Amino acid sequence: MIERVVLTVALKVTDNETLSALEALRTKMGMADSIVGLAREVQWELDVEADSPESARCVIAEIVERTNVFLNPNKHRSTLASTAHGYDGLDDDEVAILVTDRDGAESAAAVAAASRIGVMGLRKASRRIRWRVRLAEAPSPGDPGLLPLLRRIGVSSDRGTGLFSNPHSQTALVAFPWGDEKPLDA
Amino acid sequence: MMESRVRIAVIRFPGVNCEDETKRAVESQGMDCDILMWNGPRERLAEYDGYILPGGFTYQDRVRAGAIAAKDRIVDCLFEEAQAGKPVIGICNGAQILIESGMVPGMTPGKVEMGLARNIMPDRDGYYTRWTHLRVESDASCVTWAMSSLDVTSIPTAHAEGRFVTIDEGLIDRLFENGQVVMTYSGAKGEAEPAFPYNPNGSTRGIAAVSNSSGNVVAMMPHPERAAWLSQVPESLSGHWGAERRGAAGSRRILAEPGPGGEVFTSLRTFIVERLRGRGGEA
Amino acid sequence: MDAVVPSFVSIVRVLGIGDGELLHTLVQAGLSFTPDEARRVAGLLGRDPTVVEANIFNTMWSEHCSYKSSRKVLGEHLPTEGAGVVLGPGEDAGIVRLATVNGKSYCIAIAHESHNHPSQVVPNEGAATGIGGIVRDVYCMGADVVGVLDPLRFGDPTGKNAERTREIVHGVVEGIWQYSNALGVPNLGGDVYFDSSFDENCLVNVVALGLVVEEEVIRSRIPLEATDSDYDVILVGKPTDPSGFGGATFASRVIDEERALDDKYAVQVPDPFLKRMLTVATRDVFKLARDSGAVIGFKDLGAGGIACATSELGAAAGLGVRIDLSKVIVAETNLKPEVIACSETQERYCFVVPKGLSPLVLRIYNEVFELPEICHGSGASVIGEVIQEARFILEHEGAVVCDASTEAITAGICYMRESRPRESVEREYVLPDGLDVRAVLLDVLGAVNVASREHIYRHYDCEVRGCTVVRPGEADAGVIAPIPSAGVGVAVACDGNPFYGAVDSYQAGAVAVAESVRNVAAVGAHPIALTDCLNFGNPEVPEVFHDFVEAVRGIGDAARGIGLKDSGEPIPVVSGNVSFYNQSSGGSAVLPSPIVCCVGRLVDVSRHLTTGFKRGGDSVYLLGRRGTKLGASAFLRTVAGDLKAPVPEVDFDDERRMMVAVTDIAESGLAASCHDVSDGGVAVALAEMVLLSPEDDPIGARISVRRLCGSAPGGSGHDLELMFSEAGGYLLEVAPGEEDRLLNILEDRGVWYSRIGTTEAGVGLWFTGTADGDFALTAEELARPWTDGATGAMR
Repeated sequence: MIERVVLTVALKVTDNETLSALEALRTKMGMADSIVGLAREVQWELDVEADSPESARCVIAEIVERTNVFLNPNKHRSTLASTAHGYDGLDDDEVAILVTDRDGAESAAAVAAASRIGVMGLRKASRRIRWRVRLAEAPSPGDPGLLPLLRRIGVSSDRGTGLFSNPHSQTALVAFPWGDEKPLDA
Repeated sequence: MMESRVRIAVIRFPGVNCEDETKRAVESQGMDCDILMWNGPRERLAEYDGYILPGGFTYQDRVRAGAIAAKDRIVDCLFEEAQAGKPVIGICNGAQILIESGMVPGMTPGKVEMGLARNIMPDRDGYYTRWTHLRVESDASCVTWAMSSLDVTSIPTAHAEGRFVTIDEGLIDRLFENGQVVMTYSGAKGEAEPAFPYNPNGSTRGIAAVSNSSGNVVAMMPHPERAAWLSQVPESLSGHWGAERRGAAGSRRILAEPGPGGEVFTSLRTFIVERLRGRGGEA
Repeated sequence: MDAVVPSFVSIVRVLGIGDGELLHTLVQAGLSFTPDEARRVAGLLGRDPTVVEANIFNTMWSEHCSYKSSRKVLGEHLPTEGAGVVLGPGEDAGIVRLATVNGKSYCIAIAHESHNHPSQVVPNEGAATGIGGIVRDVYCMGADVVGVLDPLRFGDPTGKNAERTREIVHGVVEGIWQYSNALGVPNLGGDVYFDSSFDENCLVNVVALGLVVEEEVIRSRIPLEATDSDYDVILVGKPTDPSGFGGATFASRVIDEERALDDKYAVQVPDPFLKRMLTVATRDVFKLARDSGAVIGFKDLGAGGIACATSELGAAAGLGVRIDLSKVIVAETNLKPEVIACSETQERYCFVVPKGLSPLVLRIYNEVFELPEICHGSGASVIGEVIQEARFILEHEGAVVCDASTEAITAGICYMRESRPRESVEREYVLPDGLDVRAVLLDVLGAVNVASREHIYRHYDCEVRGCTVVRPGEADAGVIAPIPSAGVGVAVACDGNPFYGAVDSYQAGAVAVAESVRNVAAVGAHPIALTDCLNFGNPEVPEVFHDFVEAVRGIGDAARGIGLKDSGEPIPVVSGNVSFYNQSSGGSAVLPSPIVCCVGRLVDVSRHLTTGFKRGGDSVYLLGRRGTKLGASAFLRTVAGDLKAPVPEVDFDDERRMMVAVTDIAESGLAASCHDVSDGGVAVALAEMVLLSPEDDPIGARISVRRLCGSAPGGSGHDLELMFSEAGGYLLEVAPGEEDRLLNILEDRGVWYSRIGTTEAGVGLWFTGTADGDFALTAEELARPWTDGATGAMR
């Protein structure tokens, strides 16, 4: 039986990548009025062949403990769950932009790393980046300007616009605090 | 009357690491070259005839290789200079910046029309270094101006994200038709669309370098500055340049004579002199 | 007058209490001192130490910083001086002259260290910070790093720790490429061995090579000018955080499985991006100092952090420093003063500059390169000043938390360890009958310690900087032409066969020198300097300490016995490192692993040689007699496991004669290719010459096995010994027209040689005249095991 486990990983030391992205958005891309904060997590969706959700989690916990393929305890903290929505845990003034590479290059590496340490059962691993964007004004479902704004933040469509996803090599979703997810690519 | 010497600026973004050898390679082909800081005064930039974004890891490849540098103010200036026809060459990480800023392929200038995705290689991942054979697909660009279409050259690659991709339907065909695919990975004799390791990253149809429609802005993954002299070419390399290198073994010629990458910089100079300055003669 | 220690400064109580209570106090305080050591500290100070002082002494006296077991042995046996040596061991890197070009004396700065323990615990960060640390050692001499090498030793990839081993291999290789590729320093070589003795203690050694003009060398000391003008102490780089606090003592301890997890927090976080920014900006600072005629001091921060770096800067000049720890840029608030003083936060340097220059230095880092914005929170700040009295004073929030003589802090302590030879483990090996030589050759070629390392080195950027002439995998040493527009070349190689260490530690040291010299000579360079990294178990074990002493003796004897080509003076050992406690809590130590790096000079880099055969119709010559001792050989390990048979003894005279002859031959342009004989003997060396011939014009060879014992009739020797003996030697490919001149050199230099066969396009490898007749292997047959043999272990 295939069980899904979601591993969420975040840095516990200074995240220079997030600071640079925030600086790029606010200063270089002129969005200081719209964006007030940023955080970054890596989410692994892991398909594990296991008898139960518990044993699936044990498999992943073992990989986490014995390899640095998903995280390095020196630098990261992590949580394990059976499911994860893009909107989980968002504050009212936040949205999440979820970016996934279009090809499976990374999941192959993760599965290979698991088998390298002799842990069987991990069938598929796909990775996405979850950017939590804190907006100056809390988003509302009826705002017609919201999606265009988020595209200008999230999708690199031209030189001055969009940072998190290159639509030719990546796909992007947006998740709202009211429990909705939408494709962000134009 | 003496033609004034061609002046090239190599742009130092935070984290680039090939600026010094790129400058030497430019100078070896009879041009002047300065390294300019990314945060320096904009006016200075206009004084130059052409620009090179060298290899390295701008902003530590944060978010995505080239993504943050593509938003730097200096890219606006480069965009304007390129619109005026001046050459801009992005090498490796520089290519990633040009792709991320929509300067290449620039069907609609400034629109992001391609991506440079992670290498796909059998049984390995991450960074990969190898000398590659390249077939010149177009001799109209500023990096192939002094070469001829279907020439085969050899230049090393070294990167983790060098796979040209696009979701725009028909774009790849149009790039080939327009002569905007400048170089493709090939076999030693120019055989098209080879497998790994000849195509080192799984790039679509073996694309290694792409230009804008005018040929003055080029994003190339191979590193010509690492092939600027014969001494840099491996002795065991296959093809024409390997034989050239072995033929010169033991002789000072290896230090004095240009390697395959030299032709890229010669192309840059002749492109500026012949096409931009409109003179047929040598500088 | 000693400063009065204010009452709110914490004290470690040492004086007037018994061993038991003192030990308890030390453990509570997180100090690894013995009670005796703690009392010596109190004795030096004349009072109980403050917590900060105790931590500083604890760090400075740990094995990693002070070589407390080894310094006497090193001083006794290693030649460290010579006409070409600008700076021997003692500072961060050794410096040796390379060539004078346009009136400038160019030098090579070289440093060699280990990062073993951290790499075992967190392989990626451990290896990356290893590279980060070693390049700092070279940069801080004012040099520009032109290459790195990484000798690696891993556990058995098929043994009981196979999974962990493969994870460590993967992490270490990834850490190395992620750091050095981003920093922009080319990888010029290294070596890799696998053995179960490294299961719980991998070895990650790192070498960095820099280029510096002699008069631009910057010393790691306060300039003498500071005795009559005001000097500031500037700290630059990453904001100080608690990472690596206690790291120096961590590296000097037996790894304990239980503690491994906690120790993760003793490992530092590498940042090659910041390092690159610092490197480029620092060049501007050096130029500023030169242009303004200021003499400055510069030192990297490694083990022991601010305390170690600033006290050593002072001690080297007989001056003192007063540092205000409150002025250090920190990553988090409420760091304790001992943490600020001793943490090993990566990517930091310390300057001592004339006060007037300080604002200009700060401007370069903080404004021109925008470090605080781009590498968030990093930057440069003045943290203190030079004082005339040779005291090391640290203040924190207005209180003096350390006040000791710089000499006392930096002198370290010396121990005489007990040394006792091991019981002999050697057993005679009797060659079995009926071995299929052809099959054995393929097995040896595919052995994990022999097969191609391509899977690893393809991750490494070997060409950044644009000076690389010979890349890893093309020849026995990496070659660069580091001085633009000059034809002088530098060759560099690392060696150390751990299986010699298992049998005879003296020979292990000697052969590490001999092999590294051979590798450098095989590309046509003559040696100008050596470095060493000595990796051993717990020195408190008399047998381990004896192994260490023997290895050092072997290195010293070989350096003197082989000598520099022209003068015959000893090849100077200009830098090095000792790594003890490579031992698991279960008691098993790594095989004694002296690892040596040799740097050579090519007067004319265009005359370098590579391994692969170049064309058909050339003669193949063997230099160096084959021996009968097969101990530690790849052959023996393949057919008899880890049987410990006697190893070949290095003949220093022969090695010298061969080195001189081969470099003469290269300089005269007489050879088309050259390869040294090492792991796998002549048979494997020949196979590699075939495998590394031009990709689209493969060249093979026909070899007479009987000729391997010399051209004299009736030469005897078992086929297996002739083909697989790892006695030192070289193989040369020579065009027929050059043979007379070649023979003149060989005769002249008194080298044993034999013409063993000829090259031929496309034939693979033919061996004629074995006891079982002739046999042939196609290039494809050779390629398969050699290409695949180690890939699985390295993936």
